[in-house]
Amino acid sequence: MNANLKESELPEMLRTNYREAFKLLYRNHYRMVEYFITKNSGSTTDAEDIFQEVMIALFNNSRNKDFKLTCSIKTYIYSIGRNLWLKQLRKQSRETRITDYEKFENINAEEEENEEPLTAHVTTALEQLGENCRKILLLFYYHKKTMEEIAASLGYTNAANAKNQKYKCLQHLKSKLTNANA
Amino acid sequence: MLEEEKQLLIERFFNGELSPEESELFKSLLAKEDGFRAEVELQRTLIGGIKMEGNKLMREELKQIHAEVKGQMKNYQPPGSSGFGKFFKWLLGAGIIGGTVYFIINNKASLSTESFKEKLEQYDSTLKGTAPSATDTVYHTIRTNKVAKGDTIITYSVKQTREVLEGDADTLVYVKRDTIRKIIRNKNMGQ
Repeated sequence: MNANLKESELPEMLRTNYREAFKLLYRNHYRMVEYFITKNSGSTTDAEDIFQEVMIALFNNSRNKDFKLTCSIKTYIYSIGRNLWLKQLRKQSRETRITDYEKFENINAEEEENEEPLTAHVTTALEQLGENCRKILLLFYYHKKTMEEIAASLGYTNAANAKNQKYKCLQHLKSKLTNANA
Repeated sequence: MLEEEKQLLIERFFNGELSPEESELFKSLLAKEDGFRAEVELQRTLIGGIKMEGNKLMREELKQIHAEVKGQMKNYQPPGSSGFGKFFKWLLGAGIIGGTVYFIINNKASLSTESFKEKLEQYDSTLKGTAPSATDTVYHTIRTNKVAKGDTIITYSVKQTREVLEGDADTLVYVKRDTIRKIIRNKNMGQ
């Protein structure tokens, strides 16, 4: 694997082989985020958490059809990490004046909808589903895989079968959730 | 509209795949049908929960990845603190110190009687025909212990750019920007 990931290759790599993409990003940019956070009142544990969230934001953004890198990977990672860390400092009512080491842009991470208690119940209901159902729902709604890709990955004969199965799994999840709240 | 068609419409909405016509239909169903609205809300919650679970699993994967590549991570040097940058800063610092030392040595050398007499002539020719703007007597030591109580300071307003203090046992010349101060030592005071 090429250690110097070409910027234009990243979105495709995140879609096809996100683990390898993440390895490269950790190798090349983790220390930059760690440096920024530890020089701005954070610990190495904070840096680990923030870098994880940066990777998740990048992953989620790369699932959008119109995702395009408008700056270098380095600036992108630094900008998201910076914003997340600022947000955390504000949440903890800590000093929010920070020292920058790189140029940055205004790129935000998607907010997780964890405020709604019902959403938290979904994760419990998901755990009660069979392994295959969990996989198919995660592949479709989280990894944004196509039905063809899901069929190939989980061994369904065709995309229509996979789609059918996904529908059933979603109904199953709905019933688990409504039963739990009945 | 069949329930199955409504389900498909909702799914296409969450995938961002609605055409302009489908989007209109979606909006009107949302406004008219409570059941449709409730179904959309339920699906939003389900998808939100699935994404949350996905993020949770992804964090676990990222922890593993971090552990795997820990020994291979490139060190980070912020811009301007590279080896060359540090060397340049060191060089600049050394230059400043060296320059200061050179200035002090040179300044001391200029205090030698012979070189001062030459300089004094130079100042005297500059001051020739210029009336002093003030004449004072030093009542207390100012700025440097080279000037003592009882010395006479003759100030001339002359355009100069350097700041320098030069002199010998009898005379001291202090040049600062727009003024030259010639200080005549009061020998009686020191003895």
